[in-house]
Amino acid sequence: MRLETLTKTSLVFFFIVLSFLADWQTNLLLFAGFSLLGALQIFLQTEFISIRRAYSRFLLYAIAASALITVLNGFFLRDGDVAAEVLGITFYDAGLQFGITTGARLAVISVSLFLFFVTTPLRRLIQFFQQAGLPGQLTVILFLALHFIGQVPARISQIYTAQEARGAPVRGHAIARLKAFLAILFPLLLSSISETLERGAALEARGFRGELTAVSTTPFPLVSKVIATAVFLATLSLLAYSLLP
Amino acid sequence: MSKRISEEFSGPMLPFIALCVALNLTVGQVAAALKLPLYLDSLGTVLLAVLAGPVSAIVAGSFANLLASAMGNPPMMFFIPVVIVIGGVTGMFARFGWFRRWYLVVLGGILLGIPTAGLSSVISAYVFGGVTMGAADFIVLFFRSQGFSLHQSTLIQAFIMDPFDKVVTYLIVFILLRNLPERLLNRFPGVLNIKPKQSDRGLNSNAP
Repeated sequence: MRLETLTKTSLVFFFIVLSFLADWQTNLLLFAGFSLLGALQIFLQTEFISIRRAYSRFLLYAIAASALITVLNGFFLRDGDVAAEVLGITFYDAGLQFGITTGARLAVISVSLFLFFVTTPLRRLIQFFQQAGLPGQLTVILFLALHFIGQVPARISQIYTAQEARGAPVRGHAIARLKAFLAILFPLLLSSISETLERGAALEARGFRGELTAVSTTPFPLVSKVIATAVFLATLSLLAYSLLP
Repeated sequence: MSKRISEEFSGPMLPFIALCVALNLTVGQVAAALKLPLYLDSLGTVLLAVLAGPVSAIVAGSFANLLASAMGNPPMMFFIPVVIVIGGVTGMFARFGWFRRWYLVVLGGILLGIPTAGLSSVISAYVFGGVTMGAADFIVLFFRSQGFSLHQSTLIQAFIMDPFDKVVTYLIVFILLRNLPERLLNRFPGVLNIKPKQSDRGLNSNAP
């Protein structure tokens, strides 16, 4: 089943709010549920190996990060009783409790946002912004930004290699590395600014003016609007309930 | 819509705004690859705030954080308020002419570091429990182990790193603008933020 971007946005908002209000056990259950759902969606319906790999890596990273947050807090925050002693290292109750609460919350936030973005191609996300009334100029900026995000690292790599060949101290001490950084940054900025101004002149010649007006696109489907409103009301109710004495 | 904002989003400026979004996302990675203890993830925002204006800088910074979330760093979305402060305050400093003198640039960087440190520490403490999966987390943990509260620890960490990072970012932009050819500089609406006034240069504006 494919969810509309508006529906997904409202659901992500709901789960982020929920992750702050729920205890760590509920958050761990939510994380496990999301991970399973994401795995089913991605491994059964996506033929792209790169997306499968990215998802697997992300899950491993999220689990490792949450475990690390728990262990580090358990070791550094020496409040409360001693919870465990492993290989001569003492872990404390309050630190472990804080670590697992934070780790579980971050895992839920990360996996819900990751699932949203991995199932929403950037072009569909931009289309969603347009439907929500984003002015045409801002849509152009987003599309151009996607172009530059692909282009700038390649240019950085070229300049890096060239400067390294000229003997820039890319592996020296901190000051030397800062100099090497500037030796990469300035040619990159100067050439990129020059290029963007040329592109800008071409856009102006094609009639782009500085008016931030919304472009008319197809409106959101009624079902999406109803679901989003219901989820939004549920989120508000949850917040209100949590604030009750 | 005011004429100023209209100028910021004029046709020639759109690709430059997009470039600044990409710079925010990529320059920080170069700094990390060279093992420099700097974020430099607001270089594009600062450059844009000086050369165009605060509104486009806020837009570019917000887009950069949104795209960073979409590209595998979800927590970045929560730091959009910090970007808004960086764009707005830098745009204001630029209009005051602070990017004409190096000592004002340093002062501006320090002053900007104060609200951004305060804001990012609140987000870091209350949203992420002081954990943002970076090297700064160890500083937070160190201060927590010394008996400081979570918010105090994130605040101290932010005050150690943010003003330094902002001063370096401001200085890089200042040096870049000094070296930018005049024919390029003249095409930006914020050119008067950088060039000394004619009266400062001893020129008579009424001269033929």
